[in-house]
Amino acid sequence: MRQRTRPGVLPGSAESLGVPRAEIARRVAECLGLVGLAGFERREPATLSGGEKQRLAIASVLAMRPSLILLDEPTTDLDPVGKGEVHAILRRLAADGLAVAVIEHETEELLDLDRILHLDAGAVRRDGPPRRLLLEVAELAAAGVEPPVAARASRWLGLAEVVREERFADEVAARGVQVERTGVRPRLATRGEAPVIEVDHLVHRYPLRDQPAVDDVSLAIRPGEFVALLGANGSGKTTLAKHLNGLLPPTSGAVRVAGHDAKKAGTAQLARHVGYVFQDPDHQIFSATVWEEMAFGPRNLGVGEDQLESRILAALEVVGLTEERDRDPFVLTKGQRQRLAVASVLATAPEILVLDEPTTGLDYNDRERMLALLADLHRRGHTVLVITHAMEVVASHCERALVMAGGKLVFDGGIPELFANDEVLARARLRAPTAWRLGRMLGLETLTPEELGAALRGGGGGNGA
Amino acid sequence: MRDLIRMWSNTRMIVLVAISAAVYAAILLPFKLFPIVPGVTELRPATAIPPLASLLFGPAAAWGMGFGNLIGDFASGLGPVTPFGMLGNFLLGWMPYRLWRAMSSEPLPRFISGEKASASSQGLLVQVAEFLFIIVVASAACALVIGWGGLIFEAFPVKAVVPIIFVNNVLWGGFVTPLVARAVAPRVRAWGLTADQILGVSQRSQSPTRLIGLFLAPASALGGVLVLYLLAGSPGEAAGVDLRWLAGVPSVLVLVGTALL
Amino acid sequence: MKLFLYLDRESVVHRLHPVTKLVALPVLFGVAMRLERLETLALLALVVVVVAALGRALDAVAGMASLLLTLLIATTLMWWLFAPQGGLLRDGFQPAALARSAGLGLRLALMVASGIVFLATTRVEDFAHGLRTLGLPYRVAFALTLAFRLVPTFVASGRAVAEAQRARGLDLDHGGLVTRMRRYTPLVVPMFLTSIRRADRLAAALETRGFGSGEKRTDLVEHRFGGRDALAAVLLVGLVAASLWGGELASQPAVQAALGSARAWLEALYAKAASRP
Repeated sequence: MRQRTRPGVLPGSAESLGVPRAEIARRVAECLGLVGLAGFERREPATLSGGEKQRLAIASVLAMRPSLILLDEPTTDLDPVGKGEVHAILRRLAADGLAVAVIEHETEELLDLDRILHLDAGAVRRDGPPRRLLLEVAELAAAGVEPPVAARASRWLGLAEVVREERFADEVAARGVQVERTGVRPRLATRGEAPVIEVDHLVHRYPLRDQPAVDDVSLAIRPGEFVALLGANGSGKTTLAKHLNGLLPPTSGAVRVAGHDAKKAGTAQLARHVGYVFQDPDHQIFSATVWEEMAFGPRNLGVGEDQLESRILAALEVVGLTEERDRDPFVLTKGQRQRLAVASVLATAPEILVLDEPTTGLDYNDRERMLALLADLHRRGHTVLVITHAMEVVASHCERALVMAGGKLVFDGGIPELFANDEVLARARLRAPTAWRLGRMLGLETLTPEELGAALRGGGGGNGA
Repeated sequence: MRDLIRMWSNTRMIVLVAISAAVYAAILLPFKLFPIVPGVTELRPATAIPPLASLLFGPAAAWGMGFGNLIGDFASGLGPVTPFGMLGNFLLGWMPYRLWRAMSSEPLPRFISGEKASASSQGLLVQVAEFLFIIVVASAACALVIGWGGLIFEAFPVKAVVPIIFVNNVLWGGFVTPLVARAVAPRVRAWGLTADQILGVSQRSQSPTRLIGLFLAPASALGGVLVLYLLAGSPGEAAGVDLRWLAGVPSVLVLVGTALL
Repeated sequence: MKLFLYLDRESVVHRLHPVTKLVALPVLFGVAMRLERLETLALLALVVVVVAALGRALDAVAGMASLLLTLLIATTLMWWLFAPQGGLLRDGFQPAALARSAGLGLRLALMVASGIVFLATTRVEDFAHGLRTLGLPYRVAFALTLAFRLVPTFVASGRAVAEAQRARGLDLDHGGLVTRMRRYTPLVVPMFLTSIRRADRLAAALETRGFGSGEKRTDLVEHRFGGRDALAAVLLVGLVAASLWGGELASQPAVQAALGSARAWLEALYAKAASRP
């Protein structure tokens, strides 16, 4: 099943194989039922949400009654709850006797599978049950695979296999590990500077839709903040972000950015202040060389050729692509293209950076590199706003979270406050990261695996990794 | 002619028909808000696509551009001229490929492919001239066929609309298409998705009737559109000359000539 | 965003066999071409409106009102100004020429309007199915359907490309013609490449789902010709007959007399209604 990006036309497959008509209609209904889309027969595929499309793609393959289904990174673009839904369906199919194989580099959802094959350089390196195989944390990391947090925690506890989350507190108690309690974390303090972004009662309605995509949102972001913008697919977070550089005009309300009224200034003017990095770098790359691609933005803004070179060199340096300056952008890896997109925006020297899903589709190493880059830019004084589904990124990097649900801003505050707020998490289809969930069972507020590890080891437990 | 039929047995060519049609339609649609009303010459960037798709995807582009135009009409309303619009765009997607392969042994002009000259190839300036000639001929053929439909159904004053279509096609095809093609062609070749690569043809057209086609297609396209323009709405039309024939005969000859290439 | 005109509703016109509609549309065009007088064209326009009402597609037609009006007015003006015979510029003001121009405008607008009704009541799948019934090979119909299905995705990616380049300061609204044309390159290139890049994956996806397996295909969608199709055919034949011989018939003395008395009756009725306070 490799048609991830294709709007699925469900009957297509069984029709091609000459299955009788009544049988096809029955199979269509049955397969839609299996993936939780019963009654969706007449919906246009283009109107489905990301998770629904993925489930439709699964159903369209099931309609052929295969004995094996193969999925290539089926949950990459989905929100945390959507990911869980797809995996729940796969588990149910497997329980019904279908063989299911998933190609994946994110390991968090894989712990309940029956078996994992770890491929490296074209060969099967290891083969075994996930809870045992994923425990080999150092080896995974060396091979460029991020180990699940539960695996690292299990190692710290010296367990023989990856612990089941619900048993974590018991295992800690059973091993007599003393947990070092650091107390409650400091809450986010409001800063005094004048905001660099001010959103005032913003409403945005798309034509022909009843519900506004952004519904009366007000917020302020101060210079140098590192803010996460969170929410389910379709919650309005991208629509909100697109007002920050004037791509969308407010239906009502106002947006002020770096002292300009966003609506009046227009996108071309705001490009000097706001760099917007889109989700898919291939939507912007068009030049024959990295250098030309980098020069596009500054030239549009009227930067002279004398300044151009130093700007481009500086930006390439920051993202680590100096060596690639004369190469064809299309031969770069996905991670490199993603960083090129960031660099091409940095070359316009904006004080504010907005990034839409900058880590989606990147493997472990590229993702770490992108995150280090963002942290670096933040340190250099940029105000950073990142739209993401990756809660570990939020936990380890951001200072503040804005959460959208159904067009409304339902949360604005510090990260620990967010993770402790089950109601907001449920409403926005979010899940606190594993490190937090495990820590909470021990009465801790641990944001990152490192903090969790420190708490466990500090209390005298574990043997490192 | 046979390649137009044979390509339907190849799944990748079929997919290219659908994709090129959808890309063309997707760029056409936002500009569909302004129907071609004489006098309103909007910038229509989609017009850069047919010659580009043609050079890369050959017969798949012919079908793709015809379908793409049909899809465009689905959003703005089917009219009696719709089949003529399909045929005109079909030609715009078919002729550049056929004409180029009849004139050159290289798969693409060098100013597009960026490749080095080989011993048997034409000079660069000759290639530029040939490319522009192809664009002018295909644009004329497209304008001729759509003008023919307009005449039959009295849908628009041919005298005003035919030059608009022709000039739009020549400007975008002659100027923007090469710019886009330079960026696009090397990558499409690297992915192995050109018609030559998929169908395994690599040389100049060997058709014995190539020379006849090379004369007939351009002559009937250019001659036809010129006669159409000069006579439409002039006393000549009033004098009882039936323009529907004067446009229909060369339209058919363009098709025959292109098939002979 | 709604790209196409189809309205997912239940109606007689929706339930007609797609072949009936595919045949009816060009026949209607042909009938319209036969008619020249403004009055008869107005009568045909009434037929289109009735069909639109039966198909619950009046709002689709109304939604395109600006297009239809532009067509109507622009075509009328063009012919009136520039017509080789009786044009305002050549021969000065002639009421007959104006009426003829208005007829041409109305004819075109009603043809496009009937196209809109067709599109509002026919799904792409049914359209393709109709073409297949009429002999279009499956693979061709499939490519056409697939193209339709891809368009919304590509429009979305086109929008994403435009936003990404505008965010980097691309300005399409200012500058001379050549500059503005050249500035479309950063839009067209990524859009074309991201779309074409799917070709291999898409071809593989089709083949994994049995496309080209050589088995005889079954169609999920089944259409049967029914009573309403027969009725539509009869009405269509009537329409054609009326366009062919209606004029002759109307000039028969008996018909003339009948029409005359009907008119007198209507006028009397009107006078009575008007005289009432």
